[in-house]
Amino acid sequence: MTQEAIKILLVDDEVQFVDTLAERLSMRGFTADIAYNGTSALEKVANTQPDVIVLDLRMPGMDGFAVLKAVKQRNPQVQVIILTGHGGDQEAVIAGRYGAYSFLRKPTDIDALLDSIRMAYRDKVENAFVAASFAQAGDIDSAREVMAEKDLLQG
Amino acid sequence: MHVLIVDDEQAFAAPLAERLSLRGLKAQAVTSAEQALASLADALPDIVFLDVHLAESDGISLLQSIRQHYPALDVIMLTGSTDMQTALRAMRYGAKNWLPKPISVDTLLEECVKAAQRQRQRAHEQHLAELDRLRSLGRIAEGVAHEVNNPLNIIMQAAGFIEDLLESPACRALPQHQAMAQAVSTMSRQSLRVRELTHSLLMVGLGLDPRTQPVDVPSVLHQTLALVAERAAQQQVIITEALAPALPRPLWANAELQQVARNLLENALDAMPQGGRLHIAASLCASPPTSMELEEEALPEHEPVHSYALTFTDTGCGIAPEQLPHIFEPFYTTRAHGQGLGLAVCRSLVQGCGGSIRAYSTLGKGCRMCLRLPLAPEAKPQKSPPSNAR
Repeated sequence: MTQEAIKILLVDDEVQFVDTLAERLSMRGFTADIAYNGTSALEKVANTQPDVIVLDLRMPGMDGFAVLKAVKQRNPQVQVIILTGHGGDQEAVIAGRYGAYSFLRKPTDIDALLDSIRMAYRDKVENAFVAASFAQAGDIDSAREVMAEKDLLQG
Repeated sequence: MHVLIVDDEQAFAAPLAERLSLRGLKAQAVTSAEQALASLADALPDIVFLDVHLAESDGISLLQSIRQHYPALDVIMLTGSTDMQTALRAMRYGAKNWLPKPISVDTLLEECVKAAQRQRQRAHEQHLAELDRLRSLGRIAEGVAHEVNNPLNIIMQAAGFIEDLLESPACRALPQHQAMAQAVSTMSRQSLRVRELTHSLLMVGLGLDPRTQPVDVPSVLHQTLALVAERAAQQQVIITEALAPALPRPLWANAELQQVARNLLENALDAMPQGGRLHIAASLCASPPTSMELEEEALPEHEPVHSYALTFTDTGCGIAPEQLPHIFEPFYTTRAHGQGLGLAVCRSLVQGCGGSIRAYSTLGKGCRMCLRLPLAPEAKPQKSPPSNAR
């Protein structure tokens, strides 16, 4: 698959930052959708089924943790990368427990972010492939296990 | 513990000082106010026993001048008669107690113990005040770093965007292209400098942070090791470590771990003036104690079974068996200088987080300090670690 095929959703209330980031991603051949708050992020996840979400933690209204939790409950296969300016160790541990794929601190380098997006996408595709192979072979339990790995993370 | 006895009756004071010395205290007897002041200027004792009647000047005026110059020093008055008036005056001027003569050595020792307790209490209060100061410092550093990071993030993104745009053929054709590219790369580079700064501010906050939380032991220890690296190099002490960064984290405060580690490192360096080796190791401890520990005694029952073990092992002069049981007592010191509070503070900090500290040593071979720390609840090993969480 080409990189253009990765569906990215950027979630951040800092409009200047996130607009510029989307523009720079598009210059590198990636298409990124934008949500400026948590509620609109969840709507977009339901409507467009992104592959990778780049999520800020501190936002007015619904914060990043709430978004992460909701996304992982409804669409566990979606990969979520946390990108935050308020990232302490505690936050990283909590994000990991809620099933975040990785945890990046602002200000971050666009190449580091892209690496993380690519790796998250690759893992998502691999998981889906493994689950599909099991399902095809009639081993529904193992297929569920592969997908359920994400459910475990929410415990 | 250092005791000063001021009494003009040489026949009373000198034997008393000698008997206190036999009990392991450092006791000195002087017979006049001048001698007393000279002795105080020379080395400050932990407690002063002062006779109210001195030959040339009275004890009360000496008490006043001691209180004025050394307000933290405990003074106990010795009264020959049952002169309540004088005793009350002395108490008003800040004496801690008065004792009617004749006085037994045990009574003096009792006062020494009380003074030691007061001193410990003061050290504890000072420690709390210090932690409080660090707490606000850490918060300020953290707050500044975060507030600066947000706009910096936008600036770096915008500068990166301009750099991207300047790559386009249309922009490359502009006559000022070179100058613009240089200017924007300066913006990016300087932003990176600010990011380094905010990052180190956050690290300062980490080192000073007095909140109890899962502690990143290797990173706190590396900061502490940096503080003693120069001294270790001068003494030709080689420091090795096996800190296993992937271990679950213990629950403690960064600032307290740093303080304890600093103390243990300095002690180890004190023990190795001619060079040697210092090894720091971390492990999870559910297994039986190592052989070096078995030489001593079994671990007590309250020892947490599943704990974080941190050991500091040096090849220094070691500790004599008769001294070993006392090294964590306040004011116990084998050195000419030093208050003898370092290890006592270490023990109270370690116990404060629910851990324990023990010392094992063979004289002439070295010493091992073993810390056991409780693990953070979420740090207990998981059954099936998720493969895709990084």
